Amino acid sequence: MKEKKLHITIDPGFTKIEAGYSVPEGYFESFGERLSLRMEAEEAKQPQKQILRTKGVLFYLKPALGIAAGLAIMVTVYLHPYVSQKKYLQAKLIESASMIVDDQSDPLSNTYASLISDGQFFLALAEMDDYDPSKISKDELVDYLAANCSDLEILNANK
Amino acid sequence: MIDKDRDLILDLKTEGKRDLAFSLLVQTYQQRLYWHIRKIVVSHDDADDLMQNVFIKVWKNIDSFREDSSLFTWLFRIATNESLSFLQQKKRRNILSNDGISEYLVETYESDAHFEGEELQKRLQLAVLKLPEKQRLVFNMKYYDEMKYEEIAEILKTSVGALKASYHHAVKKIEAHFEGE
Repeated sequence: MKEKKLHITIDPGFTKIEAGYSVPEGYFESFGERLSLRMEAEEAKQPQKQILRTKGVLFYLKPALGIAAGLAIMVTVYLHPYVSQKKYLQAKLIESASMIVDDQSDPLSNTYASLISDGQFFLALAEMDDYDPSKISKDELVDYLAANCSDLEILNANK
Repeated sequence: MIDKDRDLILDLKTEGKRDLAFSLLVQTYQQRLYWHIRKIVVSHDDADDLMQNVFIKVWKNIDSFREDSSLFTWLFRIATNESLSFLQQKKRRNILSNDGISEYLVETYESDAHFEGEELQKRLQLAVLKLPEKQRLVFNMKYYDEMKYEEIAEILKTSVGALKASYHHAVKKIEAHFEGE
């Protein structure tokens, strides 16, 4: 592509048109000095910035963290009796519940139940239908009372 | 890379010679960088701030300069990026469109105290400021700074063909602007 010279078109005298900008008097002579001053000022700021950077977020959050920690301690102290009581009750409930569960899952009863067949169970029920208190002998009654009742209960029953 | 620049980079990376080498770097490149930045952002005060930013970046990053490109290219790339980022920030803060940026630059140009140009220079600047960003950048670097396409391509990380097309379109638009006046 052949380049078209702009000054040919707009300036018949082939004189290049300058931009026409100017600078304040002595600008370039004093630029180096002003640049040095700014760099010194920036370097003086630098350590302060670095300290802030190393302290970081924690430095600025310190007061807020202190307040938060204080509140946390106050809440803990205030709630401590309630929480320990609640924990104690929960532990007791769990303990008693496990005892019930243990009773229900008595290995002996399970063994006994598993030993009785369906036929034996119905036979036992039929025997109970034949139950007649008059057929119980005196010795059997004494044995039963000795095995199942205390002396105090027997005395009270006789009153 | 020019030997002078290579020595300068070596001194910049050497602890004892760093300060002196940096002063030399500022003296050598400050004017070219300033005019490059000034033509992008128009305002003298903004150009001054940005040029200081550029040299501070150079100071901080000289150790990471891998010398894949020349010192000149590296400096101009930093200056271009700083200036374009500055305009992007203006665009975001003031919610400006691309036309809005042109209007902002024209307003800045008309209110800037540091302009001593003649009428023709002013007319050309107003036409340049109305160009799209890339065309304005290429026109400034080619026409005013008289850089080679290869140098511009290295700074802007684009192809020579794309730059020639941009410059061609820019010239056409400026001519049309003059004819329409």
